[in-house]
Amino acid sequence: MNAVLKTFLSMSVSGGLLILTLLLVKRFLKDKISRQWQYYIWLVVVLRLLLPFGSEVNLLGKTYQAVDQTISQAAPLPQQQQPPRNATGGNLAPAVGAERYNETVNNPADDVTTASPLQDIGTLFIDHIWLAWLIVALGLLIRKITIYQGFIRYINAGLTPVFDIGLLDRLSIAAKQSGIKKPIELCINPLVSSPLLIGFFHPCIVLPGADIPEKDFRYIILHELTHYKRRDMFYKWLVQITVCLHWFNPFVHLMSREITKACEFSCDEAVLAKIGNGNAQDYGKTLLDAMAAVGKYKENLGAVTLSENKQLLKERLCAIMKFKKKSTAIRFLTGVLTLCVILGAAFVGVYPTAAAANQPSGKHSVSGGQNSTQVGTGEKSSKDYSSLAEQYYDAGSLPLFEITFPRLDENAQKKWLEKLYADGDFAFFSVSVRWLDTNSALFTDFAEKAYADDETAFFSALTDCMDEAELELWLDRALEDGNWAFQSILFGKLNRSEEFDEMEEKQEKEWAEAQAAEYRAVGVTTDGKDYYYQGRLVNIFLDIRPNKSFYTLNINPKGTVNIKTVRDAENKIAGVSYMTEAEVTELLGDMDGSDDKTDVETIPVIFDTVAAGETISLGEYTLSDGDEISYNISAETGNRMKVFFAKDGQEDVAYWSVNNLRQPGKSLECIADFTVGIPATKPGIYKLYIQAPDGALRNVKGSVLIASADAS
Amino acid sequence: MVQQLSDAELEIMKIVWGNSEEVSLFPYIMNGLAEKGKPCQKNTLIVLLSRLIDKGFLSAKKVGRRNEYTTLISEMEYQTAQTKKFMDKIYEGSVKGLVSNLIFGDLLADEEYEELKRLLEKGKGQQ
Repeated sequence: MNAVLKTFLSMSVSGGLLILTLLLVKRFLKDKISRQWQYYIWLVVVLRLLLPFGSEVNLLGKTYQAVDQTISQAAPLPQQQQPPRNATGGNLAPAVGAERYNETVNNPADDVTTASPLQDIGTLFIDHIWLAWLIVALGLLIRKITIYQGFIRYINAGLTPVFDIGLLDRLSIAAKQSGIKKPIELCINPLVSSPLLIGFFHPCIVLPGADIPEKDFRYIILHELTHYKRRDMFYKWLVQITVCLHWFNPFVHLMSREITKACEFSCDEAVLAKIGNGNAQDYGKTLLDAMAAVGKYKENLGAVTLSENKQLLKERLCAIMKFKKKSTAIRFLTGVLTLCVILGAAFVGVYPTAAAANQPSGKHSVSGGQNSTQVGTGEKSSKDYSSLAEQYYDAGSLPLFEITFPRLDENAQKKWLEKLYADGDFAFFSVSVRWLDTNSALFTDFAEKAYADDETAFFSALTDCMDEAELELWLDRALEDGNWAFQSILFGKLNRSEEFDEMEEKQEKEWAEAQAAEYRAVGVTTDGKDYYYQGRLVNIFLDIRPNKSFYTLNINPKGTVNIKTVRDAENKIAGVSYMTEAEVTELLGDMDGSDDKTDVETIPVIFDTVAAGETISLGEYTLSDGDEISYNISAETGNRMKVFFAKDGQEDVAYWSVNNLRQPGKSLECIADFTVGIPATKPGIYKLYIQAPDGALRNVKGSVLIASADAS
Repeated sequence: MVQQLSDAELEIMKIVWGNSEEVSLFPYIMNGLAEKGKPCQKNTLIVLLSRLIDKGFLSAKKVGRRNEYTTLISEMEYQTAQTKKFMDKIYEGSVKGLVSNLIFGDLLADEEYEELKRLLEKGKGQQ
C-alpha cells in the first residue's frame, strides 16, 4: 500500500514543480497571454496530479536521474516534522533513479530491523501512514461536500422562480446565442448577495433580485451562461478533489486559488469577446454593482458566482479595462507554451524517489483553504469605494477612478476634489466633476476657489457642467474684474467666442496703440514691423518688463543700431539705451547657443495627431552622466502634454518628465532643460515618450536635444 | 394541496385543459400561446413546463424524441381549490357571504341569476 502512496507522493512533487513553473510563466506573461489559456492550462497540471501515467519514461532514464537530482535540491520540502520519522529518516535510501515500485530500496522500514520499541512504533507509523493520508483526504472531501450541500439547501430555502416571461425570454435568447441547448431555470433568492449559478445537470441562475436594469441583466446572464457552457462547476470540483487528495501539498492549495481567479478572469474575457470591447466599461460597472453587497454566506464553494471577492474584483476590473484580442504572434507563443507544459507534465512523470518519499505527511494545512476572503455584511459600500478610489488613484487609472467616483458619498467626493485640486491633478479632477450632482454646492465652492486662485484649467472643467444662467453670472463677474483669461473661457462656453474675439481685437489694438505711444515718447517710432530710433533703422530692439513676464524683441538684419528700453521702478519706460556688444552676444548666443555643439543629438518630434490617452515612444537613447536634455515641443490642441524618459517596460516611472497643462489663450508647450546626473537620476538606457493624458494633441512640433557631456 | 400558479403557468394550463386530445404536445402549447398573443421562447416554455411538472400539475412522458404532457389536476379541481382559498381569505370560509356578495353586489346578470337558482334547486334535489 505504501507503494501506492509513494507513487502518489511523486505525482504530488512533479505536480508541484509544474505548478511552480506555471506560476512563474504567469508572472511574466500575465497580460500578454489569453486568460482562457491561463485557465485551462491548469487542467494539464490537475491531470498530472490525478493520473499516475508515465512509467514508460524508463527509456529516458538518464534525463530522469538529472531531474531527480534537481528535484531533491529544488523541491522545497518542509523538513521532517514528526519525531518518529526522524528516527528512521537517516536510513532513507538515496535516490534510486527511475525504477518505480522498488520496495526493497525505497521502503525505509525494511532497513530498520533493530528491536528498539521506539523504532517499532516508527515502523508501524510509516507502514500505516497511507491510512492517515487517506483518512484526512476523505474527511476533507466529505466536509467539502457537506458544506456545498448546506449551501444548496440555504439557497433552495428562499428560492422563488421568476414569473416574468420577458426576463425568461431574454434568458432563453441569450442562451441560444451562447449555444446552450439546455433550458436554464431562473430564480430569485434575496439571501444571495451576488448572482450565481447552481446545479450540475439542471442549471439554475439565482439572482439576488429581479429589479435589475436590462443591460446589467444581460451581462450577468451572459457571465453565468458562460460558466455553465464551459462546465466550470465540474472543473471546480475536479480541483476540489485534487486538493483533498493532495492536502499535504501547499502548492496544490496555491493552484486551487489561482484557478478560482483564472476562472473568473477567463469568463470575463469570454463575455467581453462576445459583447465587444466597447462595452467593457459597462460590464465593469455591472460587476461593481453586483459586488456592492457581497457576502452573507460563504458562497464561493462549488457554485460559480459573479463576484468572488473584493481583491479579485479589483484585478478583474483592471483586466476588463485592458482587454484586447490577442495577436497571432501571441497565439503562436501560446501554442508553443501549451506544448511545453504538456510535454513537461508527461516528462516529469511519476517516479518514486527518495526525494519524493521524503515528503513528510505532516504539512498542517487542513483548513481546506477555501472560504478565503468573504467580507462581512453591513454598510460598507461607500467606504469600500473610497478605498477602491484610493487604489485606482495611486495606480493612476483614470477610467477606473471615473467609475468609482460617482459611487462615493458627497463628503468623500468633496474630499477627493479638494485633494485633486490641491495636487493640481487636472485630468482626475475634470473627469470627477462630471459625475457630481447637477446642483451640487461643490460646483460653486470650487468655481470660487479656482477663480480666486486664477486656476483657469480647473475653472474651465467646472464650467463644462454649469448651465447658461450660471455661466452668464460668472461672465458678468469676469467682465467687471477685467479678468481676461476667465472671460475667454466663459465666452467660449456660452458659444459667444466671436464677441470675445472682437473685444480682444479691440483691446489688442488699444494696447498696441498705447505701446506705440509709449515708444514714441522716448524717441522710437514704428512703421509696421520696422523700428526707427533717431531716424536710423533698428537692428535689435529689446523691451523687457521688470518681472520678465513679457517682452518685445524685434530683429531686423537691415538695421544698424541695437537698442533696449530702460524701465523705471514703476514699470514706465524711462528712456532708451544702446546695447553693449556683450549684451548682444549674450542675447543672440542664448538663442542659438546649442547649435554650435557638434555632439548634440537632435530628435525631431513631429506628429499630426497623438490620440487622447496615447503614449508614443520616440526611440531608445543612452544617457550618460552630465548629458543635457532639452525639450522644446508644442502642440496646437489638447489640454495636456507629457514628455518623459522611462526605462523599457517601466513606463509608469518617468524621468526628466515635463507634464504641462494648456493655459488658455496660449499654445501648449513643453520646454525644459535637464541634466542627467547622480543622485536624482542614473545614467543608462532610456526610452523617450510623448503622451497625451487629456485630449488629443494635434500638430505636434518641436524637438528633443541630447547634448552629451564627455565630448564637450 | 393544490399549489398556486403564476399567470404564465395558468395560461399554459388553460391551453392543456382546453385540448380535446388526451395528451398535449409541445408545438401545440407553443401555438396556443402564440394564438393568445403571448408568444415566448422555446426554452422559456420548457422551463415553465418543468415547473408545472414539479408542482404536480402535469406529467411528461417521453415518446420517441418528444414529450407528451398529461394533466394531473383538472381545471375543475384547480378552480375549486382556488375558490376555496379565495373564500377562506376574503369571506372566512362562508359560502353565504360569497353568494350574497354576488347577488347584492350586482355581479350577476339576470339569466345567470336564474341559472344559479336552478342549479341550487337541482343540487338540493340530489342530496
